[in-house]
Amino acid sequence: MSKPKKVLLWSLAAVVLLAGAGWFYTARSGATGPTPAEAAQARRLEAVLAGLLPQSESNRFNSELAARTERLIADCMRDKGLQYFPKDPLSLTDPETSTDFSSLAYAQTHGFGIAAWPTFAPSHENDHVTAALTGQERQRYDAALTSCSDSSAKRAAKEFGIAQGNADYDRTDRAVTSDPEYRRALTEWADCARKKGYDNRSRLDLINQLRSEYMELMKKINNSIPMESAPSQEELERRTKAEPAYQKFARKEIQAAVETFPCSTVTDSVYRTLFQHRSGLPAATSGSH
Amino acid sequence: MTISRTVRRLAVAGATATAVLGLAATQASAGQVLDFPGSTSGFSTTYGGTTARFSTGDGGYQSIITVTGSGSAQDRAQCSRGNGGTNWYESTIRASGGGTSHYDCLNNGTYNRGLVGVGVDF
Repeated sequence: MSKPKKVLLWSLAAVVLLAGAGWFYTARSGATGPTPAEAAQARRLEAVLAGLLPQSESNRFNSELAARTERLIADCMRDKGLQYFPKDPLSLTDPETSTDFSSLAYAQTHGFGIAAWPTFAPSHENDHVTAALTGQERQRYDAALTSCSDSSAKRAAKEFGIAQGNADYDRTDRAVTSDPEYRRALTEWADCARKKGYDNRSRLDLINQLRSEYMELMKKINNSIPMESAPSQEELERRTKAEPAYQKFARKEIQAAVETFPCSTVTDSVYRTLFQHRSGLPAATSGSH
Repeated sequence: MTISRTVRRLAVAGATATAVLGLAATQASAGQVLDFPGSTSGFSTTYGGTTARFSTGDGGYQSIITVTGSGSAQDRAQCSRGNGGTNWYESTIRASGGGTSHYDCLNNGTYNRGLVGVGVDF
């Protein structure tokens, strides 16, 4: 065999070996990259995070993710010989108090959502299943549910492009927030807010300031609840909301959200436009950053 | 993990650790759910002979309850977004007999930048 032919044969063999090794590694590691459906979900998530879609779409994303996770948990439990009924997504995520920066009505009701109390739907789908278990059976059931919940959450997160969507969002967000046009918009927000009595660099700065104040307040309120008083959720909420300090804070939060709403509307619009331009995502329909 | 993510995680962990110091235990004798918006760890609450002790993991992003006593409970978490918005979630995991239930505010969906409140569903 001539030398060129030998070289050609060795080269072909090397290509076949490399391709085989690549296929073997991919098959073993599962590193197949996102499917078109996962990539589409990642783009959807990126648009949600950027505020390019209305808040209802953010809530729908959370609800669909919760529903899918629950179906996977039920399948996983069935494979272990255990019964589990998927829960109502509204018992796992609360769209009612989820912050909606694009809505003046939300600002007037919940402010920025800092002092909002959650409003979950009740969940009793599996009460009859767990009620029939003995102590040891219950521990085995709970251990299986923990395992199934973790694996199902990971699988659902992959299907919904969570890691990719967040990474893509972070990258574009960094570019947008360092863009001179956005920096100018932030300066204008600060000027606008200052005229209304708020000395903050941004809405996020204002929220962080209020949240720190709220956490200190809640620490004091929780400490003031006597151990023998035994509050239920309703009682805890009622007592907290009856505290003058809580009421004062809630009014302050709502006032801040409402008064800075016009300032934020302008800044959010600039953010969305820049984000859409840099990411290539479809133009915003409504929403907020 | 990037340096900025690490710094952000440490900042969140520091903030939450500072915020919860001094919280007292609360005792519940009626009702099934207790939420503590604005609190994240370092306290416990009891309902009908079941106690849930709150702690955090994963750099302050994960809310964890350790459940002891006669019954079981699920963790709840109020997670925040980078722009300051928040949303409440409940863990599917029901814990009992010294086990734990947790909810992770990192890569959970659309609110992935911090844990700002916790609760428990007995």
